[in-house]
Amino acid sequence: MRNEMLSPAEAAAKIEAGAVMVIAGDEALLRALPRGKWIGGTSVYFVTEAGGCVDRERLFCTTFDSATDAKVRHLDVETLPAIAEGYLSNGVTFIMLPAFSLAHSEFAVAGSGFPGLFDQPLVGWVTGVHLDEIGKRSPLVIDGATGAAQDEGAVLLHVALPDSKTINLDILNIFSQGDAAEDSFLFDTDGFSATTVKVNGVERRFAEYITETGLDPQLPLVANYAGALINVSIQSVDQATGEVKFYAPVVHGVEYRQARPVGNYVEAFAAGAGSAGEGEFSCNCILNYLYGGLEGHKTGGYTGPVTFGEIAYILLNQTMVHLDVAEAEARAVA
Amino acid sequence: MIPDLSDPRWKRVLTSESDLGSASLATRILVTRLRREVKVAPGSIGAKIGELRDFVTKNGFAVADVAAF
Repeated sequence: MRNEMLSPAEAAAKIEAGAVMVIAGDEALLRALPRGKWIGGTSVYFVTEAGGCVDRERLFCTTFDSATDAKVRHLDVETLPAIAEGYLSNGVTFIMLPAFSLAHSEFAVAGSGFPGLFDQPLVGWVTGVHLDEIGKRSPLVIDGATGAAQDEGAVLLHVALPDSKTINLDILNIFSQGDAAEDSFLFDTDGFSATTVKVNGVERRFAEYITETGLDPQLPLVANYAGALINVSIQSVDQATGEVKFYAPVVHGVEYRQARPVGNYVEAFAAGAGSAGEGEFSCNCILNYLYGGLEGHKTGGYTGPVTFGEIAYILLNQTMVHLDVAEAEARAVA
Repeated sequence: MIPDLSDPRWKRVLTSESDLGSASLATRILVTRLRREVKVAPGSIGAKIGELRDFVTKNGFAVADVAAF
């Protein structure tokens, strides 16, 4: 697997040569690419080898040099549960969803229950736009096989790899969950918003609670998924209606605690990444880019698009997702 | 070797809240979802054990995770 920033001409040449690719970039660049075995999503924010940046001239390209087969699909909201029907043997599937779309919501709320979803690594991200263009332009996904650019549904790239390859999908979350001495939150229903919450078992209006306690909305709510820390980020707090909106759904029955503050995001990512990252695909959250001041800074050795949501089987927030494809023997030795 | 459906480890992992620190990300997320569903509907435990075992059967990387159950 190769990850690199390419000019549109370089990316087009690879597509025409038959490369299997996942491509992130500005809408105009993606629309101009030739048809082939690729999917694309809009983003103009990247973490490159030189650090975080806005780039409308180049495309972030992930190429599966060792792919033995590949299939591009576009699923609408109704057929989204059929994601796993396209899984290929010893494969990995990339998925992209447009931010603010029905497919985004549906995947976030119901995705973990889709049949067979966990039967192979499912990695991807939610497409976005420049923050100055929210409401003016739509985040898009592009089906490279047909050239269709759409603001609804999901594009999928199912990739088959040789048996000698191993695939490792994981996350790097720089946030930790507050300890038992801190307030816990339980929600009555799944969803992207809530007006009430049980705080340590006592029902409260969540917006009021946030104001009273001075809860920092830049710090996500964190749940412990059997040892994996899963974030839900706060989008907005409306005191008039009492509604608190989130960038991913809170889940009924899951206990959340607010994350502990992170002093320096760049140092936290460097510490979490260690010497890893080279040759891996990654995507990182636009909120980490903004709140952590990642422009001009690296995240260890990891590069990739900066996104409006990250996907490692499920929708994640304020998290780096990373995917490694390696020779089985190399991994065993390492 | 994947334990059969009667092995107590399947029920144990779905009725506890233990961390599976060494398990794969897929296993940790799936087990969390299944635990939640069992908590809401305890009678579904048999079906959820079946779903978890099917997942392990289809995913070679998850076989090692059973040791954490």
